[in-house]
Amino acid sequence: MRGALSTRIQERYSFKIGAALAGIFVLTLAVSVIFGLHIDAGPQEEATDRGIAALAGLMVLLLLNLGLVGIVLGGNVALSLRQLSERAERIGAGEFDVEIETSRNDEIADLYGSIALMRDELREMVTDLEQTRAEIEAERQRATEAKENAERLQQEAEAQNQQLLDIAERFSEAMAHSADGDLDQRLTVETDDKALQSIADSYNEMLTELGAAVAKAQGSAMTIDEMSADLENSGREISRGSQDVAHAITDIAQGAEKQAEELHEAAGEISSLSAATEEVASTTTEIAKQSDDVSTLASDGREAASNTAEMMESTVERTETVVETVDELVEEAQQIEQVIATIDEIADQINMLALNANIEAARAGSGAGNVGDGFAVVANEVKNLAGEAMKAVDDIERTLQSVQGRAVETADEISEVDASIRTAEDDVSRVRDQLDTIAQDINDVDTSIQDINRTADEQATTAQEISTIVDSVAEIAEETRDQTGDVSATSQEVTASTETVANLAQELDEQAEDLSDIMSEFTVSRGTLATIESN
Amino acid sequence: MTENLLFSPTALYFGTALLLALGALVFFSRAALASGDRRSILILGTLPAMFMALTYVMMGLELLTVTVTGTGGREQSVVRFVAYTGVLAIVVYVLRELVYLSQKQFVLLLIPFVALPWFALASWVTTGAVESLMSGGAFLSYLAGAYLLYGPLSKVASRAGGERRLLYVKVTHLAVLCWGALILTSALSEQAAGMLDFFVGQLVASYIDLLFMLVFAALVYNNRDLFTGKREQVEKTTD
Repeated sequence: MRGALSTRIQERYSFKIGAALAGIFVLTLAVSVIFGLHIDAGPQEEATDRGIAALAGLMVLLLLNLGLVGIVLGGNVALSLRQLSERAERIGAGEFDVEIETSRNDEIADLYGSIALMRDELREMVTDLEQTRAEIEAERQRATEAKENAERLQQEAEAQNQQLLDIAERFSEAMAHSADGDLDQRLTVETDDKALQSIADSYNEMLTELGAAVAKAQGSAMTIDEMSADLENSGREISRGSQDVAHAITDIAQGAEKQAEELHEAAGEISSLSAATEEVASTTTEIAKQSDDVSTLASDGREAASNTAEMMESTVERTETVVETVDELVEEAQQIEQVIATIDEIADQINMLALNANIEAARAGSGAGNVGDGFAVVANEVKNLAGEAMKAVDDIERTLQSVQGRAVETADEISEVDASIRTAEDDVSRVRDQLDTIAQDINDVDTSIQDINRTADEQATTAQEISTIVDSVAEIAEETRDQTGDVSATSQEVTASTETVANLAQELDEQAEDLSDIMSEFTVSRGTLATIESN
Repeated sequence: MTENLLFSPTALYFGTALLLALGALVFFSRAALASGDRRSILILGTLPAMFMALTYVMMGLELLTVTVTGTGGREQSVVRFVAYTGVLAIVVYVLRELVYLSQKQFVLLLIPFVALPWFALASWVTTGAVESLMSGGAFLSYLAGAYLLYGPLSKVASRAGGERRLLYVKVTHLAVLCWGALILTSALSEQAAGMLDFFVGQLVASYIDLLFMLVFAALVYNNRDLFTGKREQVEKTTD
């Protein structure tokens, strides 16, 4: 509120003066109150003197304050107006780039703005006036020049008109000669007018070109005459040739039809081949699978042979142990035989002893209670025992001999078995090696079968592609057949056309003779002909 | 002497001293915050108010008093005139710095402004023809100073440029106006024409002193940017 009021006062010069005067009034009023109190504070008889003093003092203060306002406000305004006046004078002198700015924002600032605006408009106006004056001067200059040019052009036009009339008369004469067929006539123009010179040059050039064209036409007419005769002969030959071509095309069409049929058959064969190849590929696939199975079986057999070989080696080791055991058994039987021989000797001795005992018993006598009897009995018993022992020894000996014999036989048989096993082991080793070879061969066969399988697949694919190509070729052959039919028809039409051409050539020959007669009416100099020939 | 005054002279002096001191303090504090080359001139602008504040204190203490003739034996302190001498010398110095017065112009202007208060004092303590002579001397000094300010020195000031010339004119107007008011007050005072009594005269004089000192300080402060240029540059631009 206070700021807005301050701004409002600064923007209006009248408000500034009013505010200053209001301040003076308030100040004077306050001093008046003080002076009034001063008057009232004194005695009654001094009131008049104090009143006069107060009035005089107030007058002095009022003058002082008004002077101060004049200093502060008037000085600023005077300076601003003086500066503005100086700048306005500079503008009046034509100095339009003078700066008109002020830090004030009251009516004087508006006046500055108005003067600045006036300066800008004056500058613009002066610029426009100078530009307009320059334009008018330029227009006036142009008008003068245009008038002079118009007069000069009129004179030149009259001269040119006369010159044109002369030249036109000469042109007319030259053209009349040219119309009569004299193409060696040329225009000679002695003038500075480039247009007339250009027309004369163009006309001369036209005559030269026309002469060249006529000469060329004469040559061409003769050439056409000769060529039309040749063309007629050629047309006849072409007609005959086209008939031969038609026959040849008919043969080609028949050949193409036959080719198409054979290609259809070939396509069928190739399709069969493709199917067979696919069957081969399928079969080789099965063979490959079976070879894989055989390879697996061979591997299993090789493993079984290895196991058998190992078992046989174990059996051989065991049979060797059995042979050793049997040999030891035979040795022990021989030792038993020695024991039995010893027992037999002992039994013989016991028997001898019993015989001696009997002899002794016999010596001792017989009868009841007789010692000899008892002794004889014992001797008999011993003798019996010895006899039984000898008998048992004989049995043992026989048995032992039987065992010994069987052990020997067993040892021999075991040796034979060992030999057989060794032979079998060798056989099994050879079988294992052969199985290894078989497995390797089967792997090779399997690889070859895989190659065959891939090759068969590729052959099948290739056969399929060949079949497709053959089909396409067959279609092309059919199209060729159809087109050769069209070509045959076309060749027949060509034959007819060539006959027409031959007829037309005959007519052209007649026309060329007429043209040659017409061209002979034009006269062309040798120089022109030389120029044409050189070109 | 017994008078029925609204305020005692001492209260009037101390009150004026207080207002002057407050004003001087405000401008001094602002001067202290200014940059180097501006600070000295701003402080110089506050010195008159400081001198007068001190003067009024001394007047309140009734120091260096003389008996003023024609007032029934009223004692008046002469300190006021000493202070006026200093104040006017400072004002003249500021004008010199403002518009670049020459040494001769400075001395020439200083003489009437220094003589003026002492002629006034002399008129206070003399009587008869001498008093009239002293009063005439004071008035002539005033006129001489005004002539110099508005005459030859104004032309010098016009060469210093718009803003400087404007401040010169304002300070000149202020000095002439306030000294004119003081002379008028003196002429109307009880020891001269007798139209003003002591209270009104002193109040008007105090008001004039307040106005002169504080407005001078404000003018210097508001135009502090004008005191930063070099004399040679200004003389070159104003040639």
